[in-house]
Amino acid sequence: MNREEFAALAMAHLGEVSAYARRLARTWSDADDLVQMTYERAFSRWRSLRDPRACRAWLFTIARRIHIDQERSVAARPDLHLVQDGAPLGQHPFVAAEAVERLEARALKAALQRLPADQREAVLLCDLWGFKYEEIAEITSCPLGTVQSRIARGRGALVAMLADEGASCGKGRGR
Amino acid sequence: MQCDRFGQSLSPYVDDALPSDERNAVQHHLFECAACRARLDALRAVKHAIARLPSSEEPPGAVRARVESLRFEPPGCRAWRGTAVAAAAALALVVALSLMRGRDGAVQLAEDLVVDHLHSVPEVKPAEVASSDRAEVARFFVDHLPFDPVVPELPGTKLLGARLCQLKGRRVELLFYHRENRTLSMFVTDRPVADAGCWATRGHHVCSRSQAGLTMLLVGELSADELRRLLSESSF
Repeated sequence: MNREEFAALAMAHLGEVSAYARRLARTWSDADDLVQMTYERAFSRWRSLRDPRACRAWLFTIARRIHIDQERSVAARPDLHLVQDGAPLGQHPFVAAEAVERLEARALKAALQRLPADQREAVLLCDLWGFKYEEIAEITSCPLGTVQSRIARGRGALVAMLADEGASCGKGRGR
Repeated sequence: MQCDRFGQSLSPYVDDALPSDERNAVQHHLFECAACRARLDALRAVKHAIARLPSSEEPPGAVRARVESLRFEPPGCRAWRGTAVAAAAALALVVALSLMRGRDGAVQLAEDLVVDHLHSVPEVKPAEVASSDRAEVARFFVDHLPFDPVVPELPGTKLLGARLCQLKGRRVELLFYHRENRTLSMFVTDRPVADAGCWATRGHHVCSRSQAGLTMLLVGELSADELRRLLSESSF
């Protein structure tokens, strides 16, 4: 892969990296800066990308590391650890799949926002951007088991929240 | 009790991330347990609902423009910094600067060129094309520049190679020459970025010459007279 090929590959992911940056950063302006810094670093280190197929995960990893470094530099960590990974999972409340299907994107986004940041990030990396558990572990610098746990907890919490949402609308069958 | 055992496996089951033996066990349980099948359906529905959200968001034009410019901005060349707002302002500034040909503009330009020279010479970063063959170096630039590439011959120097560079937001040639154990950088642009003359900064000289609609800016630790003479004797 030469520089031009890398550039074409990296630019194809600009929209997704931008979306991810907006999920990470506190403001849109910060997100835009994060996107710029991500690509600046990527273009300065593109030779270290061994497998072109890993380009998207590599860009996400860079974005997250820059974000974490920035957060550390201002000594203001995001709410990444609101829920301990060792806490019991619990059973997902019963909610009919059809009820979830009927929910508007707005309700889903609101529910996502209520998740602890680490769970929200893991769920989105998995379900929105389609990364495999191994890739998410690399991006978030977490063990595989932690990734699996965060996704499971996040999805479980979403099901619970959406069950409440369905019940409040008179559509669900809460238990 | 079986549901407790398999409850934590449903989420990775949705993602097909379980070892085969565990996956088979979950499948067997799901065949017998309607409650877990319903939970599995709910988890899948959540997954599919999230997958339908937009996964890509177009960044502001100024951000895209800056990122696009990196494609042609080699690591040694001047990199942009600052906030998106600053980036947007910088784009406007580029237009203004490109028309600035007064003394202050030239001094700033000379400063920028020396910084780029110091960060881009082959001793610091490998050239994108390393060759003493002018035709080969010219071919490297074809289709990458907003003008027909030229590779001037400088008497008494050896061509080392070249790279693409950005100068005031526009792609330009950056050529490297060797003379008397020193590396010279020559920027070639199709914009009249500076009047003819020489400037001194950071122990280097920068001399400019316009010819055939192109501006050549030669940077090095040689004296201004030597750089000026090399430019006047250059040909392409």
